[in-house]
This record gives sequence, C-alpha cells and structure tokens, in this order.
Amino acid sequence: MKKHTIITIAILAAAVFGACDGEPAAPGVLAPGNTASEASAPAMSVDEASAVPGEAGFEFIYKGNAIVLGSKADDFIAKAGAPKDVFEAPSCAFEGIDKILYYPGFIINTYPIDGTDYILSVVLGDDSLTTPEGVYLGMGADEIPDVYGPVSEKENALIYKKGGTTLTFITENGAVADITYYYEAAISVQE
Amino acid sequence: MKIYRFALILAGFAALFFGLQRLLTPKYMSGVYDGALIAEYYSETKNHEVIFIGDCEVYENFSPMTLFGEYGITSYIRGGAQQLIWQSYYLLEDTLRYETPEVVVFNVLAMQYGEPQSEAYNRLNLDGMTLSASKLNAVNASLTKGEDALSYIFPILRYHERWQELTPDDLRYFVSRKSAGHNGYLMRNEVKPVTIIPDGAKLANYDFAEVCRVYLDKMRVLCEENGIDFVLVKAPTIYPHWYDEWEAQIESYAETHGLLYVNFLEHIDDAGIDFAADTYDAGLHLNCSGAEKLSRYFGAILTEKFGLSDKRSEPAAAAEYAAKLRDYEAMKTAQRSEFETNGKAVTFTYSKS
Repeated sequence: MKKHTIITIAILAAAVFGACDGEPAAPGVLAPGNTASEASAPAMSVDEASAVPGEAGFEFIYKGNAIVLGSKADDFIAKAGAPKDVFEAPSCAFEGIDKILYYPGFIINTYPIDGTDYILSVVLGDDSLTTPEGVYLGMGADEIPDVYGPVSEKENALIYKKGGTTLTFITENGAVADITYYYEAAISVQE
Repeated sequence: MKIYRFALILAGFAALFFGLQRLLTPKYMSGVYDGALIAEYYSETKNHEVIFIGDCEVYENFSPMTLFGEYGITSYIRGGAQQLIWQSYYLLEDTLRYETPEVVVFNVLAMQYGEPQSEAYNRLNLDGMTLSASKLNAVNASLTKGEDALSYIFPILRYHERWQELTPDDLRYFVSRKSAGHNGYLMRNEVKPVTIIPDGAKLANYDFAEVCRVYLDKMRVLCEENGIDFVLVKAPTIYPHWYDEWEAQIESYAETHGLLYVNFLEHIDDAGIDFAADTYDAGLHLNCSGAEKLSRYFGAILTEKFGLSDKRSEPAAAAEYAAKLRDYEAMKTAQRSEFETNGKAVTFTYSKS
C-alpha cells in the first residue's frame, strides 16, 4: 500500500511540475512577452530578433538613412531627425506604449521593450517617395514583379518576404495603393 | 486503515496542489487590473437587465453605475482586454447559466480578429471563467501555438515558475481579493487629450473573417432562443481605426436581422463627448467622465427602445446599488485627486461596502 501511495504521489507530482517540457517560457505575471496593442504585432526582444538567421531584411531609405526593422527607433531618429509628430497608443491592459512616428510622406510604427522603442513597420503614405528599388504609390501593380520578382497576388496584396521582414504592396484598381515594410520576425519568434 | 491513510495523503497532496496553484496564479490587484474583471462576475447578484460583452471598448467606455443612477437600469459588463468574438460568445453562454437579461450589447470591434492573437490576452479573458463546458469550448477556440488547454483548468501548469516572481500581493490576496471593476467597468479618471487621429492603414481585404460572422450569428441566435434583444454597438474611440467597409458590413447585418446597431462614432457630439477632456489615453478609451456621458446617452436609447423598467424604486436594487454607488464615487474622488496632485491615479481596487 505504501508503495502504491508513493507511486501515486510521484505520478501526480510529475504531471504538475513536469508539465513545462516543451512549453513556452513562463508568462511572468501575465504577459508572455507581448506588450503590443490591438493594432500592432506582438513584441519580442532585440536579441531574439537578431537571432533570426539568413539574409538581411527589406529596408526603406530616408534621406540616405536606412530604416532597419527591429532596430532601435532612437538610432534612426539620431541620424534622420525627429519626427514631425508622435501618436502614442497604450496597449490594452499591459504596460507599454506603441508609437506612430510621423515623417514627411511616411510613418514608422514602434513597439516598446523595457522602455526602449523598436521599429515594427514603415508605411509609405505619398507618391513622392519610392522604395529603394523604385516602386511608388500609384505605380502599375503589374510592374512590381519586374522589380521584386514573381509572386502570386492574394486578396489585392503582393507580399515579399526576406530576412524576417515583409514588404507588402496593396493594390487598388491595378495600381499600388499602399506600401508597408513589416518586421515579420517579431511574429515568427513569438510563435 | 490503510485506505484511510492513503485517502489522507491524497487529500494532503490535493490541498498542497490547490494551495500552490492559488499562490502562484496572478492576482491582478496591481498593474493589470483588467485580469480581475471576468472572475468578479460570479460573486455578483445576478439580476441584470442588460449584459455588455466585448473587448476594452465595453469595460472602459460604459458605466453601469451611471445607467442605474440615471435610468434605474441594472447592467453588468463581461468584458476583457482584446476579447475575441468566440470568447464573447462563450462568455455570453456562461452568463446565461446564471441569468437571462433583457438586452445583450456586443461591441463590434472584435470582428477584426479572425484568429487567436496572443496567450496574454487569452489569459485575461479565460483564466477568470469558472469551469464549465463554455469555458472549455472558449479555451479550445482560443489556443495559440504552444498553449496547452489543460493549463486553463489547472493554471499551475502555466504559472508554476512564478515562484521566482512572487510579490507581497500574492500573499496579501491569497485568501480574498479586493474588487477592481464596478459591475465590470474599469474606472480611469486621468485626462490625456486627443491630439492626433491616425489614419487607418489600407488593408488588402476588408471582409470580416468567416469565423467572426459565424460567432456573431451564434450570439444572435442564442439571444433569440432566450428571448433577449441583441444590440450591436461601436464605441466612440478613435483608434484602432474603424473602416467604412467594416461599418457597411455591420449595418447590413443589423438591417438583415432587424437588430439595433449604434455606431457611437457618429454620435460623439450628441453624447457630449469632448476628446480634450473625456479620454485618458488620447482617444483609445474614454475616461470616467466620458464613460458617464456615453452611458447617459445610451441609457436613454435603451430605455426608449426596450422599455426597461426603472429599478431605483425597488428596495432591494436600490439598497444594493446605493452601496455600489458609494464605492464608485469614492474611487472617482480618489483617482481625480491623485491625478490632480501627482499626474496619475493609483487607486484601482476597493473593498466593497
């Protein structure tokens, strides 16, 4: 009987305390590495981001300065100057503020980790700007594969992936209506 | 005798197990108060005429205390941060185990999410639910990659490593906790005016996901089967962006099924909301002043459209809400004073009168 008792307790203890095998990291008080708002992607640490192997991601160039997705926003601001405006979007429930930095013709979305803002995405907003490869708002959508290579259009979007980033062209009436650079690595590592 | 001893040892292990689980599970009595809301419902008197369900756009923007104070409407908000529509459905199903309200109000912003978003938000919405088929179904519908359904039944499976992060709160609130919500409303009295209204990013596809349509329909049918009026609302917050294409789909759905749909973004002036004074985070959520204005405006609509009775003349309800209103006003006074003095409110929990 004593043997049975010991075995039973051992099984129950293993079920509880052995359950962490293969699980994600402990959630802290509650938020498991996710301080992002409803409107943006889950956040991650920069160390995790840099651990993504392979080629460099897509970059938008502003005034000769590359905007590196996943890098510190302050590094870009130090080189390119302060944004003309900033919108702060606190996340629901969790601490941390996602920001939208307004520059002439484009915006930068950031996410916070331990009080530091990192670049999540860049959205081009007027046709005076082009991607480094020469695509601009209003350009014929059928010209994009000539620049970035063949890709199948899905729900009015042409999506290219490289080095943990995505470059998305949304099309309307056969023309480019939106260009977004996105730090996809934030999601893949989170998952 | 041996069986007795065996049972005793098992009982001891169970006590240790559940004691540890209680100790290690987050208490939500500081920082993320939103996590306390779902569980608080179960200790309430369940005789509400109106139940709100949805994301932060319900529990930050509507004040049940104002609805009672101004119209005698009894209401409760079963809201959670980034509550997904299938979570709303199962929370509604869960609520109907205890009571049958006359009106259910659902905020439609959640229609934008067609798949589970993050474990953190799942926890805020699901951990507080008592064990039921509705909870199990909500968990199964919500799991993100790497999550284990069993950990929602036995949270210690998820939180066992929290022993390294235990705070005095974990001991202080081990036995019982204070309240954070006022009938599910999470009060905020700070002021941070709107200075920028961000444009909505263009989307490749503006159609709501099929799963959202399915759960919206399930909520409508569940209400219909229980003789409940189902109302759709869009709270008057300026971010995240509410697209015209989304609006058209909701309008069409409401019209097809004869539902009342109120997009409060179109009634900001009518409700008297001033985004220089009535928001605590630059337009994402209303503060208490804004929530009270919106509730006054919506209360008139609810009273007129659904003929809800004025419970202020009923002694039991009057006594119950007199105590609730005392707690509510006390927190409001405290938060406003803290904000004026130190620039931020710190009183977010209270002991019930």
